Amino acid sequence: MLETRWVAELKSGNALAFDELFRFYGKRLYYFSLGYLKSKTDAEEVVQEVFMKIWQNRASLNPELSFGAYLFKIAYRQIAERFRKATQEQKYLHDVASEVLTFTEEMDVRTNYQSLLELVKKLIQQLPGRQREVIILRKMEGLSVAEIAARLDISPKTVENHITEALKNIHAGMDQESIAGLLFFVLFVKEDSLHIPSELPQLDRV
Amino acid sequence: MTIDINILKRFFEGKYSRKDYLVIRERLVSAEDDREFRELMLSHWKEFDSTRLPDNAVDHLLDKLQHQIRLEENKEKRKFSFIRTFQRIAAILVIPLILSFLAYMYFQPEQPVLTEAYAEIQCPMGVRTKFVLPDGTTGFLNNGSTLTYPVTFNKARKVTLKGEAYFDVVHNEEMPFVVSSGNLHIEVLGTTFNVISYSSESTEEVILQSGKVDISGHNGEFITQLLPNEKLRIDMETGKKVKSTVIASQYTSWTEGKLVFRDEDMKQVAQRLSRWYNAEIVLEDKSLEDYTFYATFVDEPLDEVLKLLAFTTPITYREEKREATTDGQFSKRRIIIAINPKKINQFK
Repeated sequence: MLETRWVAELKSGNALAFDELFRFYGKRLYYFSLGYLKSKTDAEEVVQEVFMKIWQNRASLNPELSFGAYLFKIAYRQIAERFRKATQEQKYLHDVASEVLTFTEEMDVRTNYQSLLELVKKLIQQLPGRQREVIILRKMEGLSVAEIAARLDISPKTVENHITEALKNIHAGMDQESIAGLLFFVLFVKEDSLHIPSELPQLDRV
Repeated sequence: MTIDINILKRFFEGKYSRKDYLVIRERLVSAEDDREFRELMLSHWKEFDSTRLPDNAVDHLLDKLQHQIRLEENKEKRKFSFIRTFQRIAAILVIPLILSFLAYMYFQPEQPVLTEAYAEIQCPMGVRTKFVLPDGTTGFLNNGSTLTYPVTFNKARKVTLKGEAYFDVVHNEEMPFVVSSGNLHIEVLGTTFNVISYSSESTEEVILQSGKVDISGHNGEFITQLLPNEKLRIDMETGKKVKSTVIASQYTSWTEGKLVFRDEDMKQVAQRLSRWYNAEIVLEDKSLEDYTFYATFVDEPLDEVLKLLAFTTPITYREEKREATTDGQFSKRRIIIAINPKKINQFK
């Protein structure tokens, strides 16, 4: 098989074989990582790291074994590591989401969570300057109210007001209509009754 | 706990519920190796078909990899040649001392001679330039900026910047990437960030998009470390340093041809418009500097931008007639911005 030959060539240090294997697996690895990481930069880094490791460890390659599975093994670690990092960086979106919405069992199963997080992110970016700054410092960077007050040279009370206002604005942006747009109708409703259900998940007011 | 591969696929395609997400997170983030989950992802990997997805997504990554490989190989070669040279010298040293000066001569040409060769990229007014450095680092140079870098990054990755640039630095732990601007020394391992340091302006700014950067002064004094979405602004006249939280993408959108103003005062707006459109834009009235401006323009001609500016702020503008210089060329466009007395009250 061609692939076995390229792997053997790479093992003996042939840089062209490396290019061939990259052409064969690079794109696939990129889109696979992108699906799990949802970030182009992260997906590119995975491709970069995985192929660099393959090059560095080329001498210990075994052409008898599946190259695809070997590549996946390295990739899995890279993806898991970046997923962990991204989870931490994105934690604030989940926090804000669960602060302005109550997740009922119904919502948990039927709402498109990715679109919901994107909506939260968009709403944060659309906040007026000071509110946005305060909410980012509080939720994203985890500073305390007192720390934010000191950093921005305003009173703790004002910081709290900004936070309350910001959450209210985000909540208002997540009106019934936008949430309704995030429901998976097609996945869960039978074809013959494809209509918009009159009952929508209820949102608690802040 | 067994899970359904469809959860993975739904997550993968971005059509997942919160419940799906929580399952994926628990299994993928767990500290110990979750063998079952890994096997499940492996079967997903095996059946994943990317043939119909766009081809050019990773082409530039192969270039970067080849650069990186070449760098590593050079390093290995240098190590080799040092050992060989050392053996030769050792052999020569046992021969009577008279020959020792030959060894000296022998060793001389092995010294790297390339360390002093520099290249320079200049970006003229009114355009942006994309660049690729010898280590695979890429970026953009904004109008009226200059980037100087060594032709080979043998010892260090040190570049000098005048003006504004955006860097996407290739990660290399052993060789930090250092940007020297007018007053700052910015050190990174592998990140994306934006630096603004025009000699015509009294402030310098560094905005970090991802990763981490260390900033110090030219005297070696450590100033601060930036995390993503942080900006350092330093005023050279007063020496004042301000660190603030920003949305970094707003500062890097110029790389996509967008002109973005975020609470910038008229003086900065005029300076940036002058550079962007290669025109001379002058404020007639100093009190104009108190107005701030908030807007995004994508590929708009200067006249459109000025019209909008006049519409949303209490200003008027006029263009001076362009005169031919002695060699028959026309001078730059010169636009004068003044206060509009009719509209001033609306903005108070």
